[in-house]
Amino acid sequence: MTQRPAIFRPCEAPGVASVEDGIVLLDGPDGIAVSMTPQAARDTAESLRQAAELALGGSPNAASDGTPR
Amino acid sequence: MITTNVLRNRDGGDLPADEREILEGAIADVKLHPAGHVAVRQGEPVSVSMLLVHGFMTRHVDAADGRRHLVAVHVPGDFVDLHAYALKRLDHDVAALTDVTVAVFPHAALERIQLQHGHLTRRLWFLTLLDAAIHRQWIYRLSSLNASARVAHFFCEMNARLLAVELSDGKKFALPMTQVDIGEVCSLTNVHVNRVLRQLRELELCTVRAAQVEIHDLSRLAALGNFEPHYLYLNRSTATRAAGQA
Repeated sequence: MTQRPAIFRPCEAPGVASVEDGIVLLDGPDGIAVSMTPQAARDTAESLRQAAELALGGSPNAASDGTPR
Repeated sequence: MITTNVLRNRDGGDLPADEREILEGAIADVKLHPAGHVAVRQGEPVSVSMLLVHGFMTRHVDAADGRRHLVAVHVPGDFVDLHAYALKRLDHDVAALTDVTVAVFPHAALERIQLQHGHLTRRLWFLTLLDAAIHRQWIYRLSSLNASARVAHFFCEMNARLLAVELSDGKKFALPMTQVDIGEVCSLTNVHVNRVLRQLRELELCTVRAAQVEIHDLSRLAALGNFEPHYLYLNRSTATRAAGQA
């Protein structure tokens, strides 16, 4: 039996954040469309950054360029 | 006739005169409801089904956190709760988005049609299957499209459905929905909808003003929303127009 390729795969393109009326809007990747308060956006960004560092095999406390903090 | 818009411009052809007469004969009452009226409440027993004659109605689900989710928008010609004939209670509310006129069909009358008129029964079944097809596209819209594509897809769908009942000329139609309503359909905040509507205007795809949608370039709007009208089972000429290819 041939296996169908998965429709949902990890995104390679980043989402795009923008500001509208003091709210942070995140469009993409894929079907993501989220509105966040500035604080929620900042916390989400930090959480994403830490998870990305872990996924890359580094420390969650590394700076965004991978150097230890 | 009250049932003029039922199955109008769909695959399989309009209802023939004899079946339309049978359907008209099954109407027990015609009612007017004001905007905001909840015609059917989730979970309550139902013994009639309603055909929307004039105006717009919605189906919505109230979440446990108190938020309302619009899960369907109905236009004239839609049987808004024909599925209640089989289910006898609904898993959602049905409400009037505008002042509406509805034709009321007792389930006993629909049962007589089912027992005596097999072809008409299949055509009515087509309507509930059409509802299901639209729901599938709404799932696709929310799971796979970004904000601007969701709104573009929704506008294209409403244009197509209103085109079928001649309430859109293919370029302009009334859509008596607030930005909050559109946000509920597309799972977007009011702020996000506001930004998307501005983008669509700046891209010269469509303009929304005073509850009117004016489409400037339907083929580009459809391309942005990945919209193809096949799931609406329109007849060929209407489908071609709905896709912006006419």
